[in-house]
Amino acid sequence: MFRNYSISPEYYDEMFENSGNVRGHYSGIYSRLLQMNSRQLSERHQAIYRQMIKQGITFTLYSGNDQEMLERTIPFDPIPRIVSAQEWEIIESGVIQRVKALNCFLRDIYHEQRVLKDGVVPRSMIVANAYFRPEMMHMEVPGGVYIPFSGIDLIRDEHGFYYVLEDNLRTPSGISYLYKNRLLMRQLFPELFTQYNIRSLSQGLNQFLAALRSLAPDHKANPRVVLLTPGSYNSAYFEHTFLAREMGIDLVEGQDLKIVNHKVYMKTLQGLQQVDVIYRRIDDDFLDPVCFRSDSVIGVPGLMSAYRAGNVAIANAPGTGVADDKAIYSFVPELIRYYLGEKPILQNVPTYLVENAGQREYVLANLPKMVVKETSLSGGYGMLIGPHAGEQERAEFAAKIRQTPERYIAQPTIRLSRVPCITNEGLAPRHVDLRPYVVMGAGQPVQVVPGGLTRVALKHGSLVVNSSQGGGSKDTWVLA
Amino acid sequence: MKLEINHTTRYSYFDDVTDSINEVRLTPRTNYRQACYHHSIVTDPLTSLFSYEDFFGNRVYSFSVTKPHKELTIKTHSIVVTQEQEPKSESMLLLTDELAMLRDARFKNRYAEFLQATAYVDLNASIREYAGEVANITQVGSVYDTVRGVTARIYQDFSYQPGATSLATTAKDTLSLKRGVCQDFAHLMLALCRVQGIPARYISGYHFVGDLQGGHADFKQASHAWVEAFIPGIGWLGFDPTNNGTMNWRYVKLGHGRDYNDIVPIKGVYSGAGCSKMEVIVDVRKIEDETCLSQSVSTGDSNLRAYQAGPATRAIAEAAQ
Repeated sequence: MFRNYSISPEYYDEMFENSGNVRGHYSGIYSRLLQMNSRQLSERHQAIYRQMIKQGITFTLYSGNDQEMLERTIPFDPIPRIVSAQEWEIIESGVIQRVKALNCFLRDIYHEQRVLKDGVVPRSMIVANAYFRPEMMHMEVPGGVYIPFSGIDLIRDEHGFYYVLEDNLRTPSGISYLYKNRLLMRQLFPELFTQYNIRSLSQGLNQFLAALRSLAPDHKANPRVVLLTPGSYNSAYFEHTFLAREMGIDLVEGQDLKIVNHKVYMKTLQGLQQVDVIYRRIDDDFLDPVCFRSDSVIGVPGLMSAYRAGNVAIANAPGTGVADDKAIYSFVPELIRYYLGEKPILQNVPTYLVENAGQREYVLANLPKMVVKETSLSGGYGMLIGPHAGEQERAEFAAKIRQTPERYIAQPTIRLSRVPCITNEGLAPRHVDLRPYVVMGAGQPVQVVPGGLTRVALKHGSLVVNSSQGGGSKDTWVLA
Repeated sequence: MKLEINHTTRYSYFDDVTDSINEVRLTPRTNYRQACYHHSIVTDPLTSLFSYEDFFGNRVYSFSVTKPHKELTIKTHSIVVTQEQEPKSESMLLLTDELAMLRDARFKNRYAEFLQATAYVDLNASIREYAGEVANITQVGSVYDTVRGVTARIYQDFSYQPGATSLATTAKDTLSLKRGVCQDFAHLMLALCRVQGIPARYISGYHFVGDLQGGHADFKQASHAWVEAFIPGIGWLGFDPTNNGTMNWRYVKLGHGRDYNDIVPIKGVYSGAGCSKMEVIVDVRKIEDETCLSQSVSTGDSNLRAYQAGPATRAIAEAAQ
């Protein structure tokens, strides 16, 4: 099975040490794979795809044209990614610390703005940010919780150290795949589940629901929680239906809700029923046409006035995007020290603010080794992957950087760790990242769903794990 | 001058409409040159009003009318005392001090929201070029004179022409059209100030001129827009590019923001038939001598829109994260 599998000291291999020895926590799956031949493995693999299509586990791929939306299954690779208990301890405490600090930051930004007055973060970076919502200023959000649900993207360098690549504090998607992948794995390798002591995901959604309920105004005993979706055209609609069903909450579109005297009601056959908590999977811009984008037809007119009046909770709170912006990202370790007085457990990928003249010259001199990203200050999507770009593309980008440096950040290219995957050429190493999901309620400890979404770049050599770019996913096992 | 302002806005619909949700920003501010003594707001149908202060310190009232109605009326009543003339304000700073202040990082941070580009305020090459021509601080010699100069140049180079532009016209559009109304001139002036690093904000308010023009007002509405620019060593001062002037007792400020979007006087959404008529009546009296400076206007324009769902926005409404 592993005959042609290559291990390179350039990348951290999750299953093998550089010497070629199998890492302890992978030995069970390794010996199981050795017992199989590639035909058996590919048969099981095919069975999974049939199962996924039958269950409708799909996402929609946009081609820029409404008529040409493609329904796809996210490729699933059946070799699990395994996280040892020691590693998980670091990840868990690290992301909890990070989300706590970011929640403090958001509260501060939308109230006293101490962090700006103390000069820790430049004020212009906040008020000129596309995701900053002046409408949220001085608003008391239920329980002081801005980010009940977040996903923190982690990667590992060639030494196996975990780094935070990105914080997702608005509407992180993908958690449904944890459950679907686990279910598929149980069918595919039932024997491994007796051999390994894998931490169960079953409490994850209960914890999330408990967190949502904890946000209900006036601590209502039996609050009504709904999931607000843009509708079945949305790429993550499968996930919206999954979460609503699993948590036993109502799945609604904007037109199913209405506002009467600053309270939110759901239209039902029994008449109007008041809604206490909204888990929204709609971006801020579209949430309320009276308050935000006036051309939005999928939001709920007047929702923000109900929110402001304290009659409903919105998860996540509007305006959280200001804290997961690429430019703010570089300040997060500092924010952890500032708000919590703690040393950051998880490191950031080194990030250069191109705005700073000294850092700019360094970035320009080392452009072939850099990934340059546009921050949301401008709302653009430009990105340069130095090692993959041609001479001319780099020169053009360098000119753009010089013209509007405040729009860019740069990072050295990080060598993502690799895990064995099934490919047409047999088992081969492919790059992965990991997105653990963090749940925060009012008056409850912050919790992390044990596992997370392991995204894998299925193309040989590719570092892009996004599902829209041909990325797939793996089941992620956290050992007890 | 003590002024009493009655402002009535009436929407008439072709048929019954429901679920009308509205936000109103029509409360005069109190600042160095005006004091709001009294303000009240009443709607018909009667609703319960919820009020808050927004990011910019403007007073906002929001309300909903759920039941079917064919007409919606919003009436505000204010008593405001305004100063006769803007106090004579001369900066004590030398040009070099002023420029140092504008370029200081702390200053730029402090006023960042009033220095940025917005949907209406483009800071592109054509704006920069025109600004270099009409508003070069170093050549003019002071920030105040630069801003005053921009006010005059817009008045001189652009013609006031209702209907030439729309609610969606941006500063760069106005620059190429060479005409517009007060809102367009205000946005253009914001852009010209901001590219020079001078913080500038959009002002909505009233400007009363009826008595000066013998009742045949040139301006269709008393509702007006102008700008405030931040002059180093002085602070925020008002400038009116539409009338090539500075502030006097005729100006009553309602609110300020980064651009028009932040201070839309009445914003709303409802379900049902179209809006057949929007009528605005602004009535002003000097309280001392009871002279009536009444102006009335009716227009077909409406900020209210019928509400319908479509699939296109649904697809893009949750960004990939």
